[in-house]
Amino acid sequence: MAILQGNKVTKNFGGLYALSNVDFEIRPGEILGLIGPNGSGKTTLINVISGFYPISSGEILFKGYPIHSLKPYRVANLGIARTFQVVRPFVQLRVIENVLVGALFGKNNLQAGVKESFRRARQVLDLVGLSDKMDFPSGSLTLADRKKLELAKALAMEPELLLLDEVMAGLTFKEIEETMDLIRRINATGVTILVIEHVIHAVLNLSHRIFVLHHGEKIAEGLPHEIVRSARVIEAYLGKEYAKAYQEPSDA
Amino acid sequence: MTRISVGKSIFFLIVICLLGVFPLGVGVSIIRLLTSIFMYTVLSQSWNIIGGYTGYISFGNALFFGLGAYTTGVLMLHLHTPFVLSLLASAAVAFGVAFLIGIPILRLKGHYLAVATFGVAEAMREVFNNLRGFSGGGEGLSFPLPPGDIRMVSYQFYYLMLLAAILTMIMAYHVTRRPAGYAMAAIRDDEDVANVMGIHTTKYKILAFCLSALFTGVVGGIFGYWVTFIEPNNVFSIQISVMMVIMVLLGGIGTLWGPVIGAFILEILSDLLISRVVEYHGAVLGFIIIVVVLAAPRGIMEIIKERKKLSFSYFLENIRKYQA
Amino acid sequence: MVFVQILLDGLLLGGVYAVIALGFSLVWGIMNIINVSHGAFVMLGAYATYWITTSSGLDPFMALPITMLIMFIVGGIVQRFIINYVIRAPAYITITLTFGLELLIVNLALGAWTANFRSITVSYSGARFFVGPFLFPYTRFFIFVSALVLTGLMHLFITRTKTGAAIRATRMDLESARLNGVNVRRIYIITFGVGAALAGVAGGMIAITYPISPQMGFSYLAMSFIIAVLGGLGSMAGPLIGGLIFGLIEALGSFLIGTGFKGIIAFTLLVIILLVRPSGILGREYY
Repeated sequence: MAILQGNKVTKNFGGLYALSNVDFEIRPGEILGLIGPNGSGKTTLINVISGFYPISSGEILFKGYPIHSLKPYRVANLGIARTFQVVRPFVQLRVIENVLVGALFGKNNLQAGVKESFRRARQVLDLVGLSDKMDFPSGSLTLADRKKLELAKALAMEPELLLLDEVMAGLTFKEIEETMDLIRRINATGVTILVIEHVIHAVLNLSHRIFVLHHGEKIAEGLPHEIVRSARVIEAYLGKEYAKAYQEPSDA
Repeated sequence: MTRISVGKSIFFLIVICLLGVFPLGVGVSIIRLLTSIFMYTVLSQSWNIIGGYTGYISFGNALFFGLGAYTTGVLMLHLHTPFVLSLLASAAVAFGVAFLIGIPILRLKGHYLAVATFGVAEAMREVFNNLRGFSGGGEGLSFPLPPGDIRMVSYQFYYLMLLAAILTMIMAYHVTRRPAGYAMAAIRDDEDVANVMGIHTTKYKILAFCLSALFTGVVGGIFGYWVTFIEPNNVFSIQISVMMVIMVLLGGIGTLWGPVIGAFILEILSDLLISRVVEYHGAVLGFIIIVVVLAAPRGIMEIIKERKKLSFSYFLENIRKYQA
Repeated sequence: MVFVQILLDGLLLGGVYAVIALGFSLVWGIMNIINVSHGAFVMLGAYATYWITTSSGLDPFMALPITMLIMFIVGGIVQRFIINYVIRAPAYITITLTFGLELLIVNLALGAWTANFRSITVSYSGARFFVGPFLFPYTRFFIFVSALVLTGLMHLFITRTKTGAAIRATRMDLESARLNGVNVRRIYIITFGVGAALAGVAGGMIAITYPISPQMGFSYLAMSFIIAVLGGLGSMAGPLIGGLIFGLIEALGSFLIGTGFKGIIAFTLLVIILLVRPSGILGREYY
């Protein structure tokens, strides 16, 4: 059974349809890549899944349970965590305290006390590589570190489903490699991940499956090497040169 | 993280003991001044919980002060309820009203919240001004007189307000160390993100508001019994609401000791001004407010924190920070 | 009959309220500043008119334009040297600042001019004319007409002049306005100056009709809030209609239920509107 399923999900803002009858499913344990041009509805999809916006019609089911009318904190308590494209740390709190909030209120909402949650927060910071900056004011971090913090906050919530919104934007090649490795390690612990990315080689390499949005509609879904050869996707988003560069050698 | 060091505990114990024996050697007017300082410590620290920790700036917390004063007054005067019981009632009324009002009002933010909280306090002031009968209306309410001579009475209220101040500080301290405190800070820094991370923001906002009302109501009751006569224009006054804000701003909004520092400084200053230049007391206060808001909006606590690299440019930067 | 007379009196006063509320609403709507000291500017204008009239023998109606000019300059200075530094600050900063400003101004006035009430008396103070059985004091009638004219002029200023367009642009999109060459600092000085000028001239009108004292201003602040929120920011008609209605209701209220309850009703209404429809009854997002 899919861990997350969307049926005919539609979101319109006034007359603008950000999402139009989108059907999707995310399978347990997989990394699903979501690509598409800017404005195609990718972030909107994350927003409606996480409860940030209500949907206009359709339904979203998490492990079979409808979540599309839930408030964001309820969605979080069920085990879904997300990051923001433009990172949003709690600026007056230190790095460790930012992550602590996730540990305290995420899936295990208040089941662990403050002391235990601090322990969990330190573990997460270790995982993402921010341990040495634990007590820094969160406003003083570099971009790459802020992206790590954003990820750490979501991880501390112990999600079953993690929604990543362009975590690699603005990173150097090496930083992208590290992030990809991190995402794989997180996935290996059993967390299902939805990755929105524009860094194509990263998302093609990371994802088990990919689906493509364009003008709020799903235009393709499948394995990475299929997507790369889909005429529609090439026309809408990838472009011919790019697609050629990503053909598998065996196809040449 | 969750326990104070032994050294600090001993320090606080010593300070409290000193404060405890202090009244025995000084004149009544100094005792009164300190009592007033303790009272404003409670008011500003309480306000700090909703304003500083949670970031929801209320300009109407005098509402709870007035309700507390009148609850105690009416109970003691008409039902002959003992003082302490009346204070508990004041606490309950303040807490309850905060809960009821909080649900609609805390959906607002910024300007609208400020005006709405101001409006609620003013509405209540007018209500009490017009309520004839048991609360005395615009003519005010007289409390039964506390027993004992002037000095004894001044001691009693000194220790009462000191106790209230200590309790409020303990409450504030504990809130910051508990999950609720982190929820409030998250709400303050980014409410949408707090929501998405699993925080039931409405619950914690209302909790913060109720906590801010609790001791405010209690000292309202103590205040009434202390000054023996209250009227709506005094206890529901916008001056009290704004004093809470400016004391916390001066000391350091969102910090544990900021409100104490702010209450201390402003009360002493106020007292000095009234005794020396009473005509211009308000003007000097207004001037101080302007200077603090422009040059040091994050208050003295931050100045202390940055003292090593402090210079004139710190203040200049603050002044320039929000200009067009 | 008495009833209608009372309504008419209230309406006439409502014109003045409209001018006060307009100034307040302008500053809040354009600059996003709640000026708690707005009432203090009303008071300053009242005293300006008083002093000009009593020291120079000028007719108080002649003193009004002078008052407007003086208050425009005062407002501009206050904006340039004080308010300017909190334009982009969070709401509680500007509210606390303007509260401090109010304390400063009112208490300096108290110190300088004492709390004693003062009145302007002119030869025609008591004169009135009749329309049917209804009595119109000349002073109040002229003030009412002046208030309407002023509101109309303001409307023209905001909608037909280049500066007015710049003001509206600044409200709609600060960065775009800047990029298009609008000197935003200057616009803010002008806007706040106009707000102060409106408050001041209204104060002058009040000085002609009633006795004045340094603490007269605060009640006009509460009234301004209520009218601004009810009538909606960003609307010119809103404060006008709101002011007239306020004058009517105040008169009615005093007649029917005594002065006390109008405060309760007004504030409760304010809170309810904020909760339900903060853009007010006539308000839009911008002018």
